[in-house]
Amino acid sequence: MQKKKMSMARFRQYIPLYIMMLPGVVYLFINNYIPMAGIVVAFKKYNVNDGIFASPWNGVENFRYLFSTSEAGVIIRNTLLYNIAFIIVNMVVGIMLAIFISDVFSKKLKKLYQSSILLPFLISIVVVSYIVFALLSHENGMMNKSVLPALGQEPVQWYNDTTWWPLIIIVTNCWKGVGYGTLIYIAAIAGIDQGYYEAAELDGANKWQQITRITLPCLIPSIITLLLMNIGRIFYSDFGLFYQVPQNSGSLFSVTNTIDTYVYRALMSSGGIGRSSAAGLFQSVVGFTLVMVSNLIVRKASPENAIF
Amino acid sequence: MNCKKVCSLLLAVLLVAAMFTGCSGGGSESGKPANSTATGSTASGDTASTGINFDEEPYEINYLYIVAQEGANQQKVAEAVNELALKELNMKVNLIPMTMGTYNSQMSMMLAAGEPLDIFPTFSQNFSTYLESQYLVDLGQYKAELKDALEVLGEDAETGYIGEFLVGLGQMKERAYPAGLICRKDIFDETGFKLEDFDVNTDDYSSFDKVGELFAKVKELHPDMVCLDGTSIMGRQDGSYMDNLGSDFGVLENYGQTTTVTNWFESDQWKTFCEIGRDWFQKGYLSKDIAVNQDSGEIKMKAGNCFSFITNVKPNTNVEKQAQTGYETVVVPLGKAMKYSNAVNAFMLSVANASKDPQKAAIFMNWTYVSREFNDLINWGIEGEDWVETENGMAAYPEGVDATNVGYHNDYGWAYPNQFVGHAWEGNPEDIWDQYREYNAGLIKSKAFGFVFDSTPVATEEAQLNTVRDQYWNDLVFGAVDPAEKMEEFNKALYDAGLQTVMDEKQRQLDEWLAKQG
Repeated sequence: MQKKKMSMARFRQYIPLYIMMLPGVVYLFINNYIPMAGIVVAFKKYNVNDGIFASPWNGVENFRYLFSTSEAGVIIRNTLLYNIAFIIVNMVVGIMLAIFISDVFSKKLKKLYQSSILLPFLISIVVVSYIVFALLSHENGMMNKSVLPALGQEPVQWYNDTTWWPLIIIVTNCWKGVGYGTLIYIAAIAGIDQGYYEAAELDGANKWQQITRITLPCLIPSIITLLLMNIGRIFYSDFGLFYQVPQNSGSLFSVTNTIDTYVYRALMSSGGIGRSSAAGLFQSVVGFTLVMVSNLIVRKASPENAIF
Repeated sequence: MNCKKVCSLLLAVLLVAAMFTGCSGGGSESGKPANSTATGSTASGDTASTGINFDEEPYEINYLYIVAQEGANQQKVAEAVNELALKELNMKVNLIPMTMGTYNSQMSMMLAAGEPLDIFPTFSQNFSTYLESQYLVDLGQYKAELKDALEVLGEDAETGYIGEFLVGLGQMKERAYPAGLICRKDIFDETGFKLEDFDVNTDDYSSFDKVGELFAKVKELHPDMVCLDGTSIMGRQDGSYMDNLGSDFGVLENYGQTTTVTNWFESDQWKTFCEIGRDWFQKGYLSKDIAVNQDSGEIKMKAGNCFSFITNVKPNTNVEKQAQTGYETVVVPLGKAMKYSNAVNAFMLSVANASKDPQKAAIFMNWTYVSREFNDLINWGIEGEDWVETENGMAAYPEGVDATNVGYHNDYGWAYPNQFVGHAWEGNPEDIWDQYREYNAGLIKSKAFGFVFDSTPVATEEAQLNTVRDQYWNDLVFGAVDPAEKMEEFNKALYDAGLQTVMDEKQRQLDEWLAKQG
């Protein structure tokens, strides 16, 4: 009885917060939950007269083209490995930059660094692909015309040589995407109580010790949140990064073909709602499973940091 | 505790899904009667004459068409078309202009959502999906309404049939896509070559050496200039040298003068084209980046450092290319011109299933093939503002108006029903439309002309073949890799992806069709 009263009182206390939450929930419901019913179209032979729900069932036929290709292994490997590399590289570089920027004393310079790191994040990937092309073009590229000759090296046929592409793609992605994570880490670092650092300094801790003993442990919740968010999208790939940046070069497919580019190439001519939805559903299910599994692992390891 | 939370969340999702199933189940019920009325009006359509009833409420046609860009006078054109159709057909028209980019990204969504639409352009590679999804109306039911349009098209209307289903009508334009080399005239003249020097043909592949000599001369005169750039070369001209039967996988070689389906990518012809490409690439005639280049030859030439590019040509190519590149051009034909089904049906005009009254849509469509005013309006805009008629009956910019400030100007005759009834733009020969007719009449005709492959049974294989082709062919045709090594690998990958299945299906359907022709 007592307990129930308590929770009622608590509920009343939080009413303003619930009201604030309402628009977000309504938005999520309309935008993210209702369309989920459309998932069935992945198992249907869709036609517009019968509509989504009355169209005849098609079993897993729509999924067949995803897996019957001999390239399926390569495509899944590329998607997974690149995303794992992106997560690790962007996290390490992002945290490093965030720590550096947080230690910049001048406020003006701090703002400048923050903004310039975020800038590439705001550039369209098509523009990025031309920046990369300006570097790597066989005809007029900066690498082949200036950098490699200066180092006494032979020019490289960049767009026909798979050797360097895993590196090029990871670097490009880091350059473009790192600013977003950095911002979140900077915010988290700003939230750390300065008292810890003062105490550490009194105890004679040097900068490195302060970073490893105070900053990093305090960042763990943000790291885990970002990590889980990224793992959820591990079966997606930035289409522009894998299609535009390598200039859709056929010889590079073995290192640049991901699920998104494969689906685009396969369906560009024939299309079909069923097959497109099948690809999307497959990516979502794998992402969902991975998020659940990784959250489970986090909860086992350190329960207070798990998202749910 | 946490597990409970997750469970309740899942339950909530399921409930939502169930709710939604309930309400849209009702939605599709209400959708059905609309469809059955459509077939109802079909039955009466056979008896109805094409006479126009001016007493009834005007029906509104939603007419989607491709434009070069949306001009300032779009609204005025829409009003003028509306007025014209009200007067002549007692119909209102809602013009829906789309650029090619918008069309590619939005068309499938518009169709899937069943948005109001009567007439819209379609590409042949989408037919099987559109048929399967029932996005189209069978125009075969409205032959009476389409009488004039069918008469204008003649035998070419046959290419709109997939099986018994008439998916659409083609536009009046050239009926072949032969390859040609578009050269800058100023530099071509410098080299001392004459157009008569070139007799490039596929009976004797050494005739292509002459083009190599031309490039060598250009290279000698302008060492920094790229001799050939753009996105095409002989091996990429998949509609020029053989009947591609709708897709590149399994074709009729030798300009369609055979009835045996073969694989073009392992033919001697394609191999020779790759070797020529390799030779030109190694001699430095091609841009080193050509295999990954995505800018059209027109853009490259306009930029000023490109001597030539390869593309499909037709009677007035040089006039069109001058407008697009800013340079006077010389066109060197690189083979014969062949008429085949896909050259006619690659791009068509269809009636959408979403049409509330397909019979009215058919009547309107028929009218678009004969109305001079309609074709001029959608292509050139408002007479007196966007264009004027010159003394010799051509269309031209009025005083003080040019390409930079015109309110509406598409020059997309190929995308509109019948440019032949409209005005031709200044700069073309006066008898340009007669030249087109003569050209179309003199083409080599593929033995499978009229046959349209229904790719539905092999949709999965074709999807995979597309990705395999994309992986290899640019490098091979532009000579970025050695054909001796890569061609075998390419063909093996094609067969692994199901090429034989597609070829067998094509042969089967073709044999059936041939048997019916008697």
